[in-house]
Amino acid sequence: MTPPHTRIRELEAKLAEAQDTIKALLSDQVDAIVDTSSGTPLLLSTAQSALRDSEERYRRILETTQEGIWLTDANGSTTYVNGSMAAMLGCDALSCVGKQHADFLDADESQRLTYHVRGGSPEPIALRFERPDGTSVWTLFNVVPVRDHLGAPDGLLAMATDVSERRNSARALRFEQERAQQVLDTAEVFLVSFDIDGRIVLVNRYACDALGQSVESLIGRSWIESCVPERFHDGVRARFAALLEGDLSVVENPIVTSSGDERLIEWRNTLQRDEAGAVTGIFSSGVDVTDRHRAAEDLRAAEERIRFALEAAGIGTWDQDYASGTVQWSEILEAQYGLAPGEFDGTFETFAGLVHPEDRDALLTTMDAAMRSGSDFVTHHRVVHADGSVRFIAGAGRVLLDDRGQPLRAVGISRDVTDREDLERRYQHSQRMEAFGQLAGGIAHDFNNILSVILTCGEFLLTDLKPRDPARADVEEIIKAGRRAADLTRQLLMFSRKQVLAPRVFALAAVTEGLSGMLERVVGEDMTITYRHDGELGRVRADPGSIEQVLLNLVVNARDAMPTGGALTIETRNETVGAMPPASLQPASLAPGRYVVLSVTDSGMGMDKATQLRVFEPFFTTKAVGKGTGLGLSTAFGIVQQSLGAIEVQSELGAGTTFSVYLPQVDDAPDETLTLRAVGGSRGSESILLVEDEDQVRTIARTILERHGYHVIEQRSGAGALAHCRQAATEIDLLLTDVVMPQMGGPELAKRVAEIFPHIKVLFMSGYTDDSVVRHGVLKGESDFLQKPFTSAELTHKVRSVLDGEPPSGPVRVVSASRE
Amino acid sequence: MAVRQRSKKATLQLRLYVVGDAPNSVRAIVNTRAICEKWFVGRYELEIVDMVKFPHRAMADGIIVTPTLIRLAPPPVQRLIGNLSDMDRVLTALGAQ
Repeated sequence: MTPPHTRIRELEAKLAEAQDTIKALLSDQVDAIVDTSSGTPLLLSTAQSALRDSEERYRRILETTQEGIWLTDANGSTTYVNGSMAAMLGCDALSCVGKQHADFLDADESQRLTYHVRGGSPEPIALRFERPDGTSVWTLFNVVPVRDHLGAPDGLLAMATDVSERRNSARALRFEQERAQQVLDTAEVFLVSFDIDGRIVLVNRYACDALGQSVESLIGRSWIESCVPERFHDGVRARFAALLEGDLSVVENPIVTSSGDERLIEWRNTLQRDEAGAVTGIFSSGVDVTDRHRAAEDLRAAEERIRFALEAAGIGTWDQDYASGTVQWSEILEAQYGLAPGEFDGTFETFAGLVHPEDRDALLTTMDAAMRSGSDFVTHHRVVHADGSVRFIAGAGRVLLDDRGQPLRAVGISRDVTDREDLERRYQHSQRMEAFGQLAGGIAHDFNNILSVILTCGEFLLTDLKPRDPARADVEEIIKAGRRAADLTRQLLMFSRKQVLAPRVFALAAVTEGLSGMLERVVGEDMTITYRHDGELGRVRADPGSIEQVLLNLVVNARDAMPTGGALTIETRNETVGAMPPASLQPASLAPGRYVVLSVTDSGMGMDKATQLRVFEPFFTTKAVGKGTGLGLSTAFGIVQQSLGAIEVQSELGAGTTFSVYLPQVDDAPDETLTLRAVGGSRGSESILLVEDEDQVRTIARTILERHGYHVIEQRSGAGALAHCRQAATEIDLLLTDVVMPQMGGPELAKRVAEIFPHIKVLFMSGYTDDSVVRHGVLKGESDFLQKPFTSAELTHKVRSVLDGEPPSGPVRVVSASRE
Repeated sequence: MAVRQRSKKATLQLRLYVVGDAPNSVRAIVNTRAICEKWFVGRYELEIVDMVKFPHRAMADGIIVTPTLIRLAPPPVQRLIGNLSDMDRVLTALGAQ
């Protein structure tokens, strides 16, 4: 039970409270009344509802906006925050009421805000609020003073925009940029980003290193101004513009480094666009191709060098692609096949068509085999040019197979070896002739000794027989036969070029004129000889007698080509020879220069090409057996060769033949006029030392000489001769010695005898000498020489002339028109 | 929702009944907070009860009008009606003077 005084106090309190309540109600300090009459509490709003409604309207606006709204009173206490603000602050709106701004800021931020508010700036400030959970929110905070209806300051209205996200994305963006830069920097190519003005936005480390500049010094700068050599500025600018227009073709643009080096960069570009699709810049990646360019240049230079080399060496090249079947030829190769540059159509058929028909099959077979086996091959064939000329082509080729063993490609080289072929042919020909010569010479040598015996014995017989002796006729036959045989062997020797000649400088006309009589006799009546002489004929250096022999042999040959008569022309002229035409069939090769030409032309049956090739071979004859020995032309050939000239034949079947003898023209003064040695007296009484190892020849020689009054000392060998000389009581006038003797040859003997008898005269004799000393001596006009076989007249005359001290001369000319 | 202000030595225990963010309620909150922070900092406990959310609590405490501030401790229990703008009266009721 409550004591009465307590109860009274309670009632008093309640009354006071009721009074308070009524007061509060009346003074509009109450928001709502709680009505508990119905058991469920009901909140009844007070009479401020109308105002409340309009307030409600504003409240709704404030609540719906995204912006944070923060009202504080004059003391800075929060009277209201809207939902957005509360969310930003991470609090319930109600719990914010009564708090200060500073309750949500750290010391620095709070200071900044105070400063800002005091400064009265209408600009927002960036402000970071701390949330109860420890996170922060970045805002743009805009504070304006609020005034009451009297205009007095009544607190602050703040509007806040949450920029945390923006800030975070800015940070995220920066982070992304850094990451992008890292990626860029690991690349080993130029990576540059430009804005549409050509300024550098991004540049990677590689580019900076290459340019020799730092990132800082490049960012924001104009690429063209900073990194491109000045003379290329306009060009690069134009490319840039084209790029922005959408031309994204790969370009090569130069850069210049900080040290002045220029490099060539190959750029690949893409356009950067914003969300609307407008171009905002260019992103480029570049590769340094300077070295590649230099390498390409070097390659070009190397290819050119190869091309020059091929051209200089006259080597043509070809390249065949089996897939397409086409062949490519170099210009040199085209020329080798007689085509103009570019004329070759690239087909195998055309190529095969140009090959000489006789060589085609072999060539194609070779190439086929190579194609199947994929091996290298060599070729050697003739080609026929459009103008009919024939060239020899030598080549080599290589076939490349694919991995299935099918031919893929073939390449090769080719050379025109016509000249070499020519040379080879001539060489072979001359080798053959050489062989013939040696054979002939060998035979002739042996024969000569035998013939000497026959002839001189025959002469002895004649001198011993009485004039009317019937045996005389037989002996004369023997001699005639012997002489004929001697002629033959001499011709053989002439052919084999072992003949010793005594060259003189003379005009060719002298030969033709001197011989004209004999020639008329030789050709007979059915034939006419026409002479054509160039007035100012040049001089030649040759052995006149041998040239006469040549002319004679040619005329005989011409005569035999016209069995029923005809016309014969002998012509002499000067001629200057240029480079030898390669198409010539003649084995002789003629150096360019001035020549005197002696030609003999007949209107006879002519010769085909095969015959022409063989016409100078000894014993080659088209005549029937027994009619001619086939030596005439060989002899002529040999003589002319030895005289440093050449002999050519031109002939047409059925039309006739011309033989032309080319002798080098000399400008030396002519030697003494030729004179035919008169055959006459030849006796003497001097002492002659006769040295000859062949007994028969020696005996005969001695007999001849003694019959002509000479005192002859005969010796079998050089040793014996020397021994005699040392013991000789009297002087010896002449040494007549063979050249080729065992142990001591003639020249050696002569030298040693000359030591004993300084004034002794020397006469060498030999049937076959390749003793170059003697030949040399005779050619130089130093020694006298007697050719075996000799007639007694030849021997005695020669001995006489030597003893008489006449200048050395060649063998006494006995020109005989032997039957050829 | 009840928001408690924690303090080290809770000598003053207060409970404030409000109605959402009605103007007087707001005023009452502001004023209460101000006074507490000024005179009883570190020594008070303030609970704010929103009647809109918790109407039954009004009945428990016998609340008739809002805003009403109740001093729960130290005794005696005191009630203050209104937006508490009269600082002196509030202070007296809370025992500051």
